[in-house]
Amino acid sequence: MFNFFSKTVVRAGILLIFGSHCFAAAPESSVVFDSNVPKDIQAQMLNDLTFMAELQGSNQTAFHKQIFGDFSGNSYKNFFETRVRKIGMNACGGGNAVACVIPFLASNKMFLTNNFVKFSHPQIARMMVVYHEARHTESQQGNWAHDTCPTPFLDEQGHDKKSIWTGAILEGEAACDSTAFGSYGSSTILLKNVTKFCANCSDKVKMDADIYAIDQLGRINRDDVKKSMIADFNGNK
Amino acid sequence: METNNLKTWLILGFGGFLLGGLLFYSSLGHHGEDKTVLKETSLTTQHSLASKKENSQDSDATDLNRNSELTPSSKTSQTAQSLTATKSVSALSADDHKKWEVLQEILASQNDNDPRLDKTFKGMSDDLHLILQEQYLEIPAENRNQRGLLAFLIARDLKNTEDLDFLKKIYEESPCLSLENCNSRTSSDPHLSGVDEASMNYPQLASLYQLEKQLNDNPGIFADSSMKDHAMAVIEQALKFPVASVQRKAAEIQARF
Repeated sequence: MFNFFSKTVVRAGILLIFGSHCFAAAPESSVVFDSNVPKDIQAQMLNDLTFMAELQGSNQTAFHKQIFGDFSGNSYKNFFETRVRKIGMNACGGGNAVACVIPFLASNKMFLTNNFVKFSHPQIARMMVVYHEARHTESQQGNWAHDTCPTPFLDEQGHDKKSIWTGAILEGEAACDSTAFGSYGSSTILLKNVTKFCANCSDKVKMDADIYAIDQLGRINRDDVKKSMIADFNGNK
Repeated sequence: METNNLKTWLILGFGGFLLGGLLFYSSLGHHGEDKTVLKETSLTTQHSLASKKENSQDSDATDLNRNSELTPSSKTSQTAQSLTATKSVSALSADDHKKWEVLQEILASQNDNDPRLDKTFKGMSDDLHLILQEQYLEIPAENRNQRGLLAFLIARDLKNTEDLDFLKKIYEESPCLSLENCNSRTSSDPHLSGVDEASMNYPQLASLYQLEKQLNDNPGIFADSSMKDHAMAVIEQALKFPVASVQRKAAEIQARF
């Protein structure tokens, strides 16, 4: 009776079972959500990552090439998925955070907060935060830990750079970078390239990228680094 | 032989277990879901506009007196305003009504990169401009991206002094104090506080960016002195808006034009 179930047939059946499982379950993104991530947050995140993965560009600046590679959805998808494998929920220190990484808790894991869907950020701004945080997972680069903002830390008008509503000033806070390649710098470079080179972005997305790049650039606390970034955006080497 | 049969049964049993697990797992719907979530579209403004609104009850900041004429309180019932918008919407031409429906879809989808934003919302009629202005006021203040989108669409498609008067009013609003509740301040982590502040002031910034673009790319529409005067009035008002980044942008534009 069991002669029919030759080894070949049985093995083929096992392959079919495994194969059908893999085929049916294959997500477009390789990121895995913890079971406690609410469905609406998962959907928003996947939506936003798909948006990034579908970006197409005509060119990129030299710094972009160094950090992300070519301007392409594949580059952005690869950048994210080689750094973030799992997504969970965390308060991220409370306040207004939408996302964070906690390298000592879990490497290659990003945490989202309820603010990810609750707060009304433009889509590219939300992704800028996600990519900023993804950069912090790079343990071989010391997680691109932020610099302490200088004292005093002044804007172009000579006023203290500070949060307009809480009045908290940035000087002395770990909220600056002295390199173009840290989290603030890399997200500025990403945004500026979207503004300049994105071929399939709406006018709104390109404008938003420019708006949000300004603050990120303002966190670079070395004038020579800032100048090199501006030269990069303007296409000068 | 008996050993082989036992092995065969074990393999089949294991395979059956896996198949059962696959069927159970698939029924939970964890994979293969649509990647996008489209909120229900509606011909009224109520549902799509309120979709993201959640008022926090535990913010610890002080409420301020707000200039509420142009910025409805986040707790104000939207019913009366929605009825007005619905009445106006029903008076739109068939073509405009279709565009309005497309806009509601895009607002609900939260897809800032919907190509229809650029294909459908240029060269809009005066009626559609008015509807967008009305809808701006109906959207909860905390919905900065949606408000900013409407301001962006109007500014990008500047037609007349009524549009500029609308934009001027955006700078007469009380600034939004937090993304959680525009009436109340909340604590802010300096790490990414700049992102929050840009979003809190997004309608104001988006309008200035588009006004600048118009001044730069379509100077002809300002050949009419009335249009130019109204545009400068917008910038003057923006200079008075109590947020440094908005003032800075307005000053840049004033210096150039």
